[in-house]
Amino acid sequence: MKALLLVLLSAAPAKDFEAASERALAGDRAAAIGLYESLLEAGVEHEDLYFNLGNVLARDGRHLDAVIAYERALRLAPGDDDVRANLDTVRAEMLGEAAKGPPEELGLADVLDPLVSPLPAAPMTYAFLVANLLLVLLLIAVKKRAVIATVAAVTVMLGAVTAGHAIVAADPRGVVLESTKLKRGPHARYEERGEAETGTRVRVLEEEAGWLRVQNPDGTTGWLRERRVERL
Amino acid sequence: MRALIPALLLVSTPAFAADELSVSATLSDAAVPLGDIVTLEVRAIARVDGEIQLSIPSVKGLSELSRSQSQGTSISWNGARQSITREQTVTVELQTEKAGAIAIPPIVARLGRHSAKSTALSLVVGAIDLPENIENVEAGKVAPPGPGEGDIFVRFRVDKNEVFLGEQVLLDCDVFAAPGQSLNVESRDPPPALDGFWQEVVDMPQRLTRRVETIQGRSYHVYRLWRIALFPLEAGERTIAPTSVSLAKGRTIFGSGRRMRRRTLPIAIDVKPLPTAGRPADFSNNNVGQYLLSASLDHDRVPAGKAVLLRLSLSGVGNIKSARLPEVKAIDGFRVFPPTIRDNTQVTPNGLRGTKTAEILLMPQRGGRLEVPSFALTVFDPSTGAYERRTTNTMRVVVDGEPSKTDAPPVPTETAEKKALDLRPIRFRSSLAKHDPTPWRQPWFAAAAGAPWLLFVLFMALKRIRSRASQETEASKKRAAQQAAKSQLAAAKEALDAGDVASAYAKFAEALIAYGTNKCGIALRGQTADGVRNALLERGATKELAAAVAEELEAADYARFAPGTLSGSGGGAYERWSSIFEQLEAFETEGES
Repeated sequence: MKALLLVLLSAAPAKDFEAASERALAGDRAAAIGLYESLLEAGVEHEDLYFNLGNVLARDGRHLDAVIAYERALRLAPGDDDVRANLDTVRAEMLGEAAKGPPEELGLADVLDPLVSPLPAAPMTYAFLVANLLLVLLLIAVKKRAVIATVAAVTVMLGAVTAGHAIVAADPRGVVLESTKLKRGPHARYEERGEAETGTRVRVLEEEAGWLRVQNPDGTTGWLRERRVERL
Repeated sequence: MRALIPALLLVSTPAFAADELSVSATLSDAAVPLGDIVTLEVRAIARVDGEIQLSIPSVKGLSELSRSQSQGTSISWNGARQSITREQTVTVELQTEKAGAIAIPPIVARLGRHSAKSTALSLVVGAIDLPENIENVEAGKVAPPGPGEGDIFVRFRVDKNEVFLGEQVLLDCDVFAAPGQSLNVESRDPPPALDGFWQEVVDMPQRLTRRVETIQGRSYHVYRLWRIALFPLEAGERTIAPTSVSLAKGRTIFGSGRRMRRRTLPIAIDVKPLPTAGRPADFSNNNVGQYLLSASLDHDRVPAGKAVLLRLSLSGVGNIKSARLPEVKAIDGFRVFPPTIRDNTQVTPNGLRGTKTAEILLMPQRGGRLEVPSFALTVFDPSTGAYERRTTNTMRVVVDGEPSKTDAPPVPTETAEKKALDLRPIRFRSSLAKHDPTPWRQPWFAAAAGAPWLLFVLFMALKRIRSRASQETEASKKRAAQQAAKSQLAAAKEALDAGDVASAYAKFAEALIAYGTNKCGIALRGQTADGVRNALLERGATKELAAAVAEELEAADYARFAPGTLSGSGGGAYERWSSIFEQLEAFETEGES
């Protein structure tokens, strides 16, 4: 009964989504964007919605908004290849060669991201819970060490993937809304130490009095006004 | 007094009139080939203050390209007398426009009422005749220098004299200079716009590079000024009109050297129409080139509701911008959206090549395995001079799920927008089902992950408690057995005191059997005397104790089943029994320790 209710409730957004996609394919970008955004305002949050919105915004020349939409889609579905590919394309269009940039300074989340993102977060987490339960039952009921060792190994692996997803998801990210100079401290009077380009994804390290300390992909850190960053 | 000074000056001027103004003219060369540039330098010197006027006449056969002027004033003192010298130099560059002897008349300089004339100059301009047999120059070669062209000449060159309509031909403009000539290209006209051709500049180097070629046995340094790719739009004999190049020879930091202007020779290209034999009806004149056709899909498996992107590409050497791709109107099982056409032209020194791609969004209309058929296109390959059919492979797409046909939106009639970005296509349908991508953030997650281990800990604790409980029961059983044995022994003593020997033995036997079983773990009931003895010996009892227990139990049996066989009234029995229990107690204690 509950499942039926959920299906009925979700039917209308799915229809709206289809209608928006139809408008997008027909080239009516304004209508498509309006429909997608109304779905977001209605509280619908799904990677497909952000992905399509990103595509239409990109086609409309609103590259920065498209990057934000793709980044949000990635938050919901870190392993989505289509989202990553389009995000890279639009970001390259915005930043040119700078999009490729110098080698990133790797944080733990940066290291884990490519490892765990191809593995879907929720199913892996549920699989971990099942394996965990199975391991305990085996410890209680079965004395065969080989079986217990195998299940324990699988459980540890699934647990590591879940932990990796949790670390990546907790990584505080934002997108720079407007190119701006980074400051050494949280005030305009501080001297500059680098620049954050429009559309760049930054890691938010600290916040203080309307200022954020962010880390650029190249590892440089500095402060900028909070309003210049869209938090993801 | 004021009127007197000019009057005195006027009087004194004639005394110095002879040296007050002089003018001279020189020409950079006395004889040049037609088209070269000569420099005329006119210098006037005046020893009075004032503005020198130089009158340089225009001369037929020479056109003025540029003029520059410089002037200076110097003042010197000879005793109390001041001397002023003014000097003016005009430099004029003149282009020779006709052959023959050209006379430059004297040039007149004026300053106030003074005037002076230079001497007349003459220039011999040599004619440049066209080289012989320029019509027979092979493709890739150039005509040798004609009479009067000297050591420096400019030529057009084509890589093919005969081409098919639409076939690429490369036209070069090269400067040839005999070795030892210090050459500078001052200006070059841009490649001319040619009627009857679609053209694209493929090479126009900022810095000229030199290579060496031999023409009629003589080596020349060759500099390419530009190269353009031409695609004939009309059949027939086409002639490329000459163009001009300004050059300078022998230029150094001290001088501009000798300047000249050279013209190319006209060049002809024979444009052949495409053959009618074997020409398919669907052939487009735009598809002339060495092309290959390919097709690909961005996915070979998609969920229902997701589109696939068909890329149809024509690539190779030719005018790819005007090439036409096969039309994709309908494919069974798919809704076909209007294509987005993009071309990527690569301009290389060897001509134009590139790829033209049509991106077509295909929306599956049913589930299962769908087929994208092969596509075909006829191209005319000028290298073989024949029409050739290019085809792609058939491709398959597996669609997971069943798209709802009733919900399928109508095919858009408008053309899809041009794609500036190479984006993966949108997802047409989505359940938008809420799913939690971060289950670890849910409050139940920690409970779900920890509960099994809590259960495990509880299980282990319970197991240990039960084990302990079990151990305590055993001890209590022993204690109870001990208590029971004591009480039964006491009852046996009462029976013995009462003279009921049989009952006393029975109680004693029960007490002993129960004690042996519960306290020592030895099943004594139903055993023969030997069995009792052996059991006790196996548990480590002494032979004396084993014998005493067996003997007393045997006596108990006698007392129970044949009371008359017992000797006496059981005197001393209680002491023996007590002794046996004490020994059993001690034996058991030793056994546990």
